[in-house]
Amino acid sequence: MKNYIHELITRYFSKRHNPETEIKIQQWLIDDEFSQEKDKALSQVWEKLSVKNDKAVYQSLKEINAKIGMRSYRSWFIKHTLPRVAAVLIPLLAIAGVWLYQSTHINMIEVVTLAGEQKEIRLPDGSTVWLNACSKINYHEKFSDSLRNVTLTGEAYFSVVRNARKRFEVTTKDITVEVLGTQFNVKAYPDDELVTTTLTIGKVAVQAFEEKYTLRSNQELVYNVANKSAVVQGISDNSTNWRDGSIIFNELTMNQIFKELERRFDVKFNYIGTLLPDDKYSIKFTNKENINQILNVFQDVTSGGFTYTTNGKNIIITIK
Amino acid sequence: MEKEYIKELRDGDHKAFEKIFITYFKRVKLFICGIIKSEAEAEELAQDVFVRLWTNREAINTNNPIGAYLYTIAKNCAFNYLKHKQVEQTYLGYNPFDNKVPTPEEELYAHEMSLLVEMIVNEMPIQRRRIYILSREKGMSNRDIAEKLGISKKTVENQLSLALQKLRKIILLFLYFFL
Repeated sequence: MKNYIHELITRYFSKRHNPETEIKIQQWLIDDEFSQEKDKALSQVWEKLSVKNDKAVYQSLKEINAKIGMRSYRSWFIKHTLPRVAAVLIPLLAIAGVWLYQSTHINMIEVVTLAGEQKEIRLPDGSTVWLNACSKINYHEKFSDSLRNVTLTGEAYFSVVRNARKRFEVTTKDITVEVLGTQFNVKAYPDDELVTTTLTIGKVAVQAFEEKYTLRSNQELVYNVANKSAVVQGISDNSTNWRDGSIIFNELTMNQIFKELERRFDVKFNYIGTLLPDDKYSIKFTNKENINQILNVFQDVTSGGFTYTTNGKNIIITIK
Repeated sequence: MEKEYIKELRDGDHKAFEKIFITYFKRVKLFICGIIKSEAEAEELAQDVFVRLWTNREAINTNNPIGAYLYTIAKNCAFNYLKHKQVEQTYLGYNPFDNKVPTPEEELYAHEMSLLVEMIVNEMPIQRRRIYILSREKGMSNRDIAEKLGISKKTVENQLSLALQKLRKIILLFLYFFL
């Protein structure tokens, strides 16, 4: 059993894991059960840590001396340490200079998905983002000291690591979502009229137009870009399930549904005749149906309201 | 050598403090960061550890190695931070541990086991993870999984066997301590 706890702890230390898993393990760590075995494993980890000093240690030393009200002993430093470290320090300073110069130019990272594509991204703070098709996020290689900001076009599901001192913010063209740490989905495609923020657990604040709204667990905010109005409602279905390949339509018109299908399947629809009126449909595809199977279902649902012919990625919809 | 530094530190010698700081600071910070998984907070907490070392210097037992002493303060600091965070999360209505069930005798180590498995499953490639979850957590048959994901039954079997190979090592270790 001791080896077992040891295995768990060394594996946890070796790298970053899923935010939810990390929280569970931290909770387990501070639990009093097996505290002796845990302590033994932790002290072994402590012994085995490979440590290499860098200039940051001297910066920390300066800060700590300020905290305890002491100053570094300059005379002692010059007599004993300076001659020995000068040879190291001068090139080190040159490197630090270059590093400082570069760090003022923090790189912007951009991740893009094409039609029919999804990606899983790990942010610098350990948070995870799942990016749906035809979407884009931008963020700084290193977040600032007070704010974690991500810009989104399209749809993404966020699992944010909690940090009360550093707010996490998702900015889209029309709304801004602010959180401290939780899981939520934002859907903001530039050609969609509706921008939807869906919250699974916790609490988020959404800034839309000139209003600020608060969402709680299992609520979503639908913002209408055209008339700048917002509605907060309960989640009737789990619309964030797109991550496992499900396609879920909730009260959408055929027009909106076809747009979504173009993104998810990398196809292009051309219409002969005008699209069906404003009837709304709710339908779920959870078995990895292909585009033909889905179109057949819609043919049935609209009682044969259209026919289609496929030509590579182009699909011609003839409306009856 | 180290013993002298500790004595000097206890007598309020700031030079000795700096020596100890330079030797141990990075270790303390890495250790705390490994537990709490946040670098910025780890720096803060590691500095707190050394502030405590300085302010409590007179109580230091010079017979014990300074490393063991720093390890204990570092661990306590990290644990206190986590406890604080947990309280805060509960207060905000976000508590992933609500569903924690009291562990009966026979399930003594089941929680440790499930945490280990969770970490390993999360490290698997997406497809394999999906298949593993459908098979073990949702209890679907290989045929149903193949159909659902639109892949061959053979692929499902291969992926599952790869997933289980990784888990087997740990499960064996687990059984070894049980039987």
